Amino acid sequence: MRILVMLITLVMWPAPLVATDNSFRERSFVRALDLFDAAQTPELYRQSAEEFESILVDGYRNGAVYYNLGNAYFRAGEYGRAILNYRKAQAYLPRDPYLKANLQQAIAAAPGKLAIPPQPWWSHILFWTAWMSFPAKVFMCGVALCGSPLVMLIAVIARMPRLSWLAAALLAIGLIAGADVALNNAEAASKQRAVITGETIARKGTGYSYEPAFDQPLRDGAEFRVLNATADWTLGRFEGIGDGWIRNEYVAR
Amino acid sequence: MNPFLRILVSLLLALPASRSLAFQAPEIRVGLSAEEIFAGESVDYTVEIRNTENPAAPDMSALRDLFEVVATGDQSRNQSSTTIINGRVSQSTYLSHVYQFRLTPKQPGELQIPAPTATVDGKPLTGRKPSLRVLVPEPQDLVLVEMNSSHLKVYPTQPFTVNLTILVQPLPDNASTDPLRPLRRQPPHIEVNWIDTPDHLSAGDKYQWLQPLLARDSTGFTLNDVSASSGSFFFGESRAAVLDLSKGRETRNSPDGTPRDYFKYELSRTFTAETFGRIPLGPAVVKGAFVSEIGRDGYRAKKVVATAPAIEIEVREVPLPRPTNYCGGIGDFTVDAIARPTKLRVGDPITLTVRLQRAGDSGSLDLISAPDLSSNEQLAADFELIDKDPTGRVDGVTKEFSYVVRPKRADVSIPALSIATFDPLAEAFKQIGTAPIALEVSEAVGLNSVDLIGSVSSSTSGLKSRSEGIFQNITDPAALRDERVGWVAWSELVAVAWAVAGATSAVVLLRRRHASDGGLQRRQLAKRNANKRLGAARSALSRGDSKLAMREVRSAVIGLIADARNRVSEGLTATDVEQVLAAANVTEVDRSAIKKLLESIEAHEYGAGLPTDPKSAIDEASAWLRRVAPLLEHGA
Repeated sequence: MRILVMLITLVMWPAPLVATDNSFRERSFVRALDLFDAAQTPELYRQSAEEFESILVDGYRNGAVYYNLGNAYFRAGEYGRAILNYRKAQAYLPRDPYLKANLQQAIAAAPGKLAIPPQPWWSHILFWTAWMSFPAKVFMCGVALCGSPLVMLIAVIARMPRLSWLAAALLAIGLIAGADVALNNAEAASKQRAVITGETIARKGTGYSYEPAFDQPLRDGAEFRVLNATADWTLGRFEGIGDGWIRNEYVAR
Repeated sequence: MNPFLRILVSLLLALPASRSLAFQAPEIRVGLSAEEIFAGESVDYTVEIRNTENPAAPDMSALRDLFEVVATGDQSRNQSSTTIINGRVSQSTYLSHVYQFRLTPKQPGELQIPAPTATVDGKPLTGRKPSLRVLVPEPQDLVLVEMNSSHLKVYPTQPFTVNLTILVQPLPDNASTDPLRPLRRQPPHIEVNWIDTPDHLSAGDKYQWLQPLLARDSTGFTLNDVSASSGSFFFGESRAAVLDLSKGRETRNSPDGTPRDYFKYELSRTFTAETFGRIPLGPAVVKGAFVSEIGRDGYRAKKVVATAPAIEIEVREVPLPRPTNYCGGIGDFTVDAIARPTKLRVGDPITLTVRLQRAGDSGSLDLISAPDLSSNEQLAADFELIDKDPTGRVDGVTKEFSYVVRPKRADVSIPALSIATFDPLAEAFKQIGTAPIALEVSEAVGLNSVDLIGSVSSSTSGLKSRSEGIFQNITDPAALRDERVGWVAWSELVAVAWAVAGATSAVVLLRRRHASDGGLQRRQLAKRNANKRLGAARSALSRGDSKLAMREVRSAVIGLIADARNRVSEGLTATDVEQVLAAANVTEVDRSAIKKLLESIEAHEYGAGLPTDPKSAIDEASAWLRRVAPLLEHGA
């Protein structure tokens, strides 16, 4: 019983599982906000964006920082980077109406916007996927997968066979949430999602000698999925037009 | 000899000349692809500099008085080899660098090509002076060649079309048949220098341009080095591509003034000037055997060379001074503007999209930069212009710029915007403008979700709970929680939960199973109960009740067997006991002893005398119990 109590405590309080050291991040956050408020030119907004970027070291992730970063890049006129960071923020602030509006605004303003890919088939089944944040999905999956065996244990100890239905339901919820987490893995998606940051020509190979992949250059804000990457080039799949290699200096991920 | 060694020796023997060349003095060798050409044609000229490393390009200035000189590339032909025979290393090096040029004579006649010069190790080198005979085409009216351009003076990004027109007299006996049809075995050839896009010009893809012109029945002209195979173009292949350039008929006056009907052929290409300057195009040469008369054995052909003089395209710079709102557009453009949203509050952002649309053959959109809206005084007074120089986006014939502006006060609208472009036909700047856009701008008393950018639905409750406004940052440092997912911690937690629950459940179920198994419980208690009975026997004996003591000894032995095998003790006889013990691999000695003990106790029950001392019987039974009980437990 003592173990049971310990497990429940751990499940209900997962925050200490992740090391936190927010003091320097808070200082950078405030400094970036000050720079943003004082900025009048794209260059100053870019400085604010760099300060926000400095918060995201060591794999740190935060929806508010991504959102602010998107705003800074938008004001700096870098629509591609703005779109990229708004998209990253969406995983953590899925129901934020301002984020949604700003993302659409950035897409509308981006000179290189491409066709929007169709919703994947499973998004219709996992209908709540755009409603829950990624950490919440992971939490739900973890709690359900931990709760299922514990409820089953209670059912065994207390001789309450009806509780096994609850355990099965929790297991089903955990597995479905796990599938949702796997399909909408924000951390994996951030490695696969990329955007063009300037006008460049996609090529059919990793070199300037290769033929252009498309009949027009790609421009700031063209989103694509990363298929492969080398030290200098990235192979991307562009919705509606195909695949092409792009120099890494024109790619933000 | 070792094959590897043999190859090395062969290589060594094959390169004695080159080995010796490495020690020869530097020299220049020139080569010419033809000794005789017609005026307007070009000849390939190579300059090879030998026996020096990385030579500088030769000085061709001496040739430019007589020729148009175009460099077509250079390549190093250095070779070096190392051979090892029986441990002896020898090296040979051949140094050569070839520069290639295309020469187009500026005048006819017997021309001696001036020698190119190069400086090697500070010493000037000079090559030989080959001769080239440039023939003037004979006057004739069988084939006429003309070249012209839609514009001889253009501005950057303005397209122009170059036409090469070839007129060929009809066949002597059939005025309606294409005069090139009898020439299908050896079609006439066109030589012109704008098939590959000249410097400072841009044009569409060469393959796409020529592909539709490919003749299906080999009636037409061959062109430069354009070759075809299975309907596709491959430059440098052996079979020349034949192009169908037929454009109908045209009447021209012959030298004696009489009108003459010609078949017309035309090759056209549209270029766009990229930089300022003068660009020569041509001359063009058409040569081949054309049908001139009919004889007894059929058509008779005459070798003809016809040329069209070169033309020069002047690319001019857009004149100065230029209007302050000049956007860089050259050509015929229209402009309009769209603002979204049109209903908003002071301070809310508006996306103002300015779209410049190009008319049919106007210049490229690439040179158009974002119009400077801050030069519009009314717009600058009423709106805050956030992004003054947005990146343009080209979509077909339209280039659009998306500005973000914020109204500074209520009741303002987007004024008409005026943008200057340059009209190359009129050679003057032209003002084009947008219509004013009416807005409904109210005071910013508070945000209303309905009034935000149209992408947000009115049912979104979250809009009412925050007051920062769109594009405002999240400023609460409390929002800075680390939202990384602790994959390892979660995995461990789930694994521990399943392991603990599984283990605990297994223990509980096992204990329950034991609790509900009577046979198991009897077996586990068999030895203890037997010892208890022996204890009772000892008690009875101490009280002097030896009969009871012997009965307890029997109960202990029978009880052990019954409990160990989950059988009813009352029905067990000495023989049954012996069988059970035999099945449990109890030794013969123990079996006999216990059987004997049980039989004597049973006999005593039925009136016989005591077979043995009760105390000895108890001790014997106790010792027997210690030996046999483990066998019975394991054999259960």
